[in-house]
Amino acid sequence: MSTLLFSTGSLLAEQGAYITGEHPRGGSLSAHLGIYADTDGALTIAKAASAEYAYRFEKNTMAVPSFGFSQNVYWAKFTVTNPGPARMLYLRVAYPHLDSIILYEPAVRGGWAVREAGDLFLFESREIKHHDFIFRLNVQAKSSRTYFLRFKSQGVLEFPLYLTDSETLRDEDHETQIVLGVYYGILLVLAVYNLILFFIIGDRAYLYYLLYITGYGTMQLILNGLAFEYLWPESPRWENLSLPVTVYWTFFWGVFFVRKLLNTRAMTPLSDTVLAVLQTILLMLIPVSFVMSYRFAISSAAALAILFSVIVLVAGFFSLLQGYEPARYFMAAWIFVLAGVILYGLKAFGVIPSHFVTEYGNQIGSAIEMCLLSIGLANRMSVMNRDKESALKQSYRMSRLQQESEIHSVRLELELLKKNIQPHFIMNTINASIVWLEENPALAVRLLRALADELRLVLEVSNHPFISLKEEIRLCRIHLEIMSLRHDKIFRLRTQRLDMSREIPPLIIHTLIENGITHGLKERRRGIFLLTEERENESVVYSLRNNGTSTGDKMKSGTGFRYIQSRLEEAYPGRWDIESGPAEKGWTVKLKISFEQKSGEKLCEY
Amino acid sequence: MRILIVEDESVAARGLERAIRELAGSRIVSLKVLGSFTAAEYFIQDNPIDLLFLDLQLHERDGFELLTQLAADSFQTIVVSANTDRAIEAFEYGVLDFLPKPLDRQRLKQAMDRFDSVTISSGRNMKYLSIRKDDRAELIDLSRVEYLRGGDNYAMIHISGGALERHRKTLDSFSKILPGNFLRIHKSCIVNLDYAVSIRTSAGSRYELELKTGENIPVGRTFYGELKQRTQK
Repeated sequence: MSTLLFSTGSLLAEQGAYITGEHPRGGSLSAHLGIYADTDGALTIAKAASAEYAYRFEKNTMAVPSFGFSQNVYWAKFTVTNPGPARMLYLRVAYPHLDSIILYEPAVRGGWAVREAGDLFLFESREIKHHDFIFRLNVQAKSSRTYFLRFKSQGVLEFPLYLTDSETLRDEDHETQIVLGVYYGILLVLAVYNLILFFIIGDRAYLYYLLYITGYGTMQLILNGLAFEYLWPESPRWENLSLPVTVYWTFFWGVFFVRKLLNTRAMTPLSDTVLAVLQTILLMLIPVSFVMSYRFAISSAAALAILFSVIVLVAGFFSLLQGYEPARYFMAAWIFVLAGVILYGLKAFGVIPSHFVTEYGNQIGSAIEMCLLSIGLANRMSVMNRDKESALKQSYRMSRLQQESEIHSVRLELELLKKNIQPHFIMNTINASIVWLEENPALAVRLLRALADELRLVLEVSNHPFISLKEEIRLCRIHLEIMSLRHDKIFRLRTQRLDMSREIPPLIIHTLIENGITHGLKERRRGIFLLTEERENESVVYSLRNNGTSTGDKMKSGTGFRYIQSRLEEAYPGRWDIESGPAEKGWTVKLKISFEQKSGEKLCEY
Repeated sequence: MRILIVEDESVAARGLERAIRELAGSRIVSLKVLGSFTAAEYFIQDNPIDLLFLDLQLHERDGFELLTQLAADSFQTIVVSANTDRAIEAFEYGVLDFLPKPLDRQRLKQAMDRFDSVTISSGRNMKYLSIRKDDRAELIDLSRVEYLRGGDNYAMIHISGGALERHRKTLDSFSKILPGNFLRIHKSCIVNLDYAVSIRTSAGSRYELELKTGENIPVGRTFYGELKQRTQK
């Protein structure tokens, strides 16, 4: 391979010439560039190439010359020294988003050959159909020529420059295409996967994720310049707008997805509100970006990209604090994305230099992130299933409990009804009424009315856990009326100093009275019951005295007493007591109910 | 007949008494109303009765205990009760009848008619025979009774296995309550046909019923016809 030696075209400029012999396969021109920032953009090539300006071009020290959002025009110059035979070399500007690139090639007969490129031109106008800008340079044999490039852009201004031969160009491209192919392949597979899942499962989280992936993929295509090449080669205007719009679009769905994935509405409502606001801003910016200046659009997109990442990271962090499982995958994924996006954003603002990591770290990070998010989605599904199962179990348990409690209260009601509306009671009463009909019809009527009243009242109170003392007394009096007429005796209930509003379980006093009649008052012509109450500190004692004889142990063994027991135990567990014993000319039953200091139990309302 | 009513509700007692008097007025020798069974026990000791009307709550065990006691006695018992769900069981103990409350005159008449009859009707389902043992009464399965031999005011119960028990009821009395597999074959004998084998003729054109036990029981002339009919089935 012949070598060519070229020297610099200037005495004072420090950059060395690009000597083709030293780069058999080509390489970056960065070390050989002189750069001049043309602040008013008025410099002409004549002036730029003049000796006057020679010293104004400063040697480039950046690996990739990168100037962020710059309003300036930048001039770059480099010298190519070719000691060998004539060659065709390719000058590649590896940044697809430059608005205007003008190449000044020194013409053989003096003057300059001017070629222009940029993303404001139709794609087909490019010399070489490539997503980067490529100029063919016909390098003469044994020549040393200085070329000038003029850059202007509304967006980020950077120009990674490479000079290579066609084979190298092809080889490099080959490798790049494979890498990009793998990357976009991953995105495509993830997109299709989530699309299918969305159709099968119907969970919208998959849809949002899918839209995020496709948006993100489009964003990357734009950044790579591939979108312009393949998607809209004839719309340079759209090409310029596409990046900010796609950024907003992508992050809009991204926020939606994050909210769904992390279930922020339910778990971290504050985060959810913030995210919702961000989402609204993003949505509003889409139409706005059509009318705002490109510079503003691009810079706000970059700013929002960073904002998006940070907010989402914080939301994820709070979600993680809550112990939400999918948040773990999410956080892991987002670290990658965050790193990539922040780096890219910082490079966009010129804070850090352009580097392989800032260019491709983004894509690598995002690929990893998307895979992790898919795992996160799957994890979310399994968490949801687990929650659903345990919620189901919980609801079974609750409904069982409720059923049991319903059964319990129905059983109590049944006990009450069975005990108090027995055929024995009804038939005996009817029997007596029939006898009265023949002897004294008025009494028959009274008896039947009393029977009707008692039945109606018992049915009414049967499903109440408590009734007022007043109601209970009334029921007892009706019952005594019935008994009086059946036995042709006089039964009465007297009361003294009772708090009629106090609530007690139904038919307790009633049962005690029944017992009194059955066991103690057989011999007497008159049965007088006296019910009194004594209030002690923590309890109330009801005394029911009748003028009968002792009931002895009989009281404690019948169904009546069992009813009293179960009712009292249910209402005042462990806090009640009944004792009976002889009293002056009669028999007394004492019912003691103790109050509990702590509330939460429906007790006698005091 | 000498009647005793045990009823704790005086109004019901009055109604029952009135109904009984209307139905059987002339045949009543005495009618006493008492409010408790304890009082009745004392009364019965000194005053024999023929028919007892008893208001009984049959949902507790006590009721059936009492029935067992009463069934061992010489008189017939009619249970009067508002609770009819265990009426069938009461019949198994050998009560004459079970009257539900409220009282129905027709049913009362049926019960009194039963009291008057002497033929063993097939509709009864008495299952237990109550035997007095000391001061308690015991039940034995009626299916173990082979035959009953009667005296003036008692009956001897022949139980399979050879046991012999004495009962206060007369054969006439038993006729009112025994089930249809029993048959009066003699003025002084009721036989459980389940133990009958065949009719044999003995000297002097007298008939005997051979039992599975090998015993031969003389058959009264007036009762032969029915016996023949029954054993031919």
